[in-house]
Amino acid sequence: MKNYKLSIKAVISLLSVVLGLLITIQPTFANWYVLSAIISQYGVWANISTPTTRPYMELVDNSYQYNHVTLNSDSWIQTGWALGATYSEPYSYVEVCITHCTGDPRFYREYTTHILGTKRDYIVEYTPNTGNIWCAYIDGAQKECRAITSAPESVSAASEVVATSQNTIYTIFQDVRFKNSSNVWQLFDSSWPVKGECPYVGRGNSANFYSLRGSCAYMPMMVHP
Amino acid sequence: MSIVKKHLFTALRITALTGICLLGLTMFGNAAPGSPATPNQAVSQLVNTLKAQGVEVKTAEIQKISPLIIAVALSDTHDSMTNAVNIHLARREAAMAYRSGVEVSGIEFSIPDAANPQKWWGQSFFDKNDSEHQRQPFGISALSAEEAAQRLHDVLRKQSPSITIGQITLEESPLAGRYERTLKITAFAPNVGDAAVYPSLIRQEIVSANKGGVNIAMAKVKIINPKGEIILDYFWDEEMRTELSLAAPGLDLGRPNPPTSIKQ
Repeated sequence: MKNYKLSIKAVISLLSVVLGLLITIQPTFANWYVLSAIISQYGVWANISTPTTRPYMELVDNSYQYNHVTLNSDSWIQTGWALGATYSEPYSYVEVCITHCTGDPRFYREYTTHILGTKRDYIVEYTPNTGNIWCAYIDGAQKECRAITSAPESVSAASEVVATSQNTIYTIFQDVRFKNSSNVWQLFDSSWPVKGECPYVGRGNSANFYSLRGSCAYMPMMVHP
Repeated sequence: MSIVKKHLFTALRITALTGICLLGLTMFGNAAPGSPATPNQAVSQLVNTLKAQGVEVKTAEIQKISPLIIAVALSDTHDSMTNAVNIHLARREAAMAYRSGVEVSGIEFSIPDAANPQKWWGQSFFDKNDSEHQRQPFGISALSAEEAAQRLHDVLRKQSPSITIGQITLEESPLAGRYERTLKITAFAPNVGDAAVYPSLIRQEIVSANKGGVNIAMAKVKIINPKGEIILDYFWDEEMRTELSLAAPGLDLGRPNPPTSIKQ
C-alpha cells in the first residue's frame, strides 16, 4: 500500500515536471532556407523577382517569407523583399544586425512595395579601403551603410521562410554574382547546386535558380543552424 | 490716389508680406513651405527639431551639397535602445524634411566617444518612392490622447489577454504644427513566446487606430518578464516602416537571419 502511494506520488511529481516543462517551453519560430552561398567575398548581387500572384501565407504568428542577399557573418546587412501573412503586398527591405543583435538593436526597414511579377536588383557590398563598411542597394539606389565587419566574408542569396512550412514560395534569383578581391562582379559557379531545406527546394544552379515549396522526398538536405 | 494713401497701401503690403514670411519661418524653421531651403538652413532645421525632441546633437554639418547629405554626431545616452531611437529620429527628421520644403538625400550619423570616433556610425539614404513619401502628414486628431490610449489599452488587453499592460500613453509631438503621436507601452509577459507576437499585434492596432484618426507615428514598447527583466525593447515607426528591436535570447520576432550552416 505504501509503495502504491509512493508510486502515485512519483507519477504526480513526474506529471508536474512534464507539465511545468510544457508551460515553460516557448514556441520558437523556425526558419527554412533555399540557399546559394559562397565564402570569402566582398559583395553579393542578385536580380530577385516576386511571383506574379501573391503566394499563400499561413495566418499564424510571425509568418513571413524573405528573399534576400546577405553578408553572412556574426554581424550582417541584408536586403531583399519581404512578405508577411498580414501584408497585402511584398516590401523591399534592409536589415542590419550587429553581433547577432545582442548589443545594438536590430534595424529593419521596409522602403517601398516590390510589385508582384516584377524584379529588382538587390546588392550588399563591402566599401573598399574602409576597413569594415558594408552598404545595401535596391535597384541601384544606396539605402543603408554600416560599419559591420572586415572583408572578405561569406555572402549568400536565399529564400527564407519563417514560422510555418505551409507558406508557399516561388522566387526567381537571376544572375547571382559575388564581388571578388579585385572588385569585379563574377557569376556564382553554375556547376554548384542550390541547397534547400525540406519542404523547400531550389531548382537550377547557384547563379540562376528559383525557390519553391516541393515535397520532402529525395531532396538534398542542409544542416539546420 | 493721394500720396498718403499710396504710402499707407505700400506699408500695409510690406507688413502683410513680412507677416507671411515670419509665419513661414516659425512653422518650418528657416525655410518657407514649398521654397527650397539652403543647405545651412536644412542643417539648422534638423538640429532644432532634434533638440525639441530631447535629442542632444554634438555636431551637425553639410557632408555633401548636391545631393544634400548631412552628417550629425549625437551624444551618447549610454542606453543602446535610446541611442538607436535617437539615431532614428535624426534619420526621420532628415527624411521628412521634404514636407517643409527641404530635400535631404541622406544622413550620416554617429555617436562617437574618445576611444571610437566611428561608434554607432552609419548612413541612411532617402528616396521619393519610400514609404514616408506615400503618406499624407497627420492632421489634427479629433480624439484626445487619453481617450485614444484608453481605447488601445482595451483592444490590446482583449486581443492579448496574457500580456498585462502596466502603462500606456500617447504623447503629442513637441514640434509646432506637427500632429503625430508616439505610443508608449510598458507591459508584462509571462514568457518570451507571448512577448514575441506582441509587436505585430501592436502594429496592426496602430493601422486600425490611425484609420480612426488617432495619428500614431511611432511606438515604444518595453516588455518585462515575471523576474522583472526587460525581455523586449521595441520601437516602430509607422510612417517610415522602420523597426528597432532588442530581444532576450530565444525571443524571435520572425525577422530574417542569415543561415549559419554555410560556413564550411
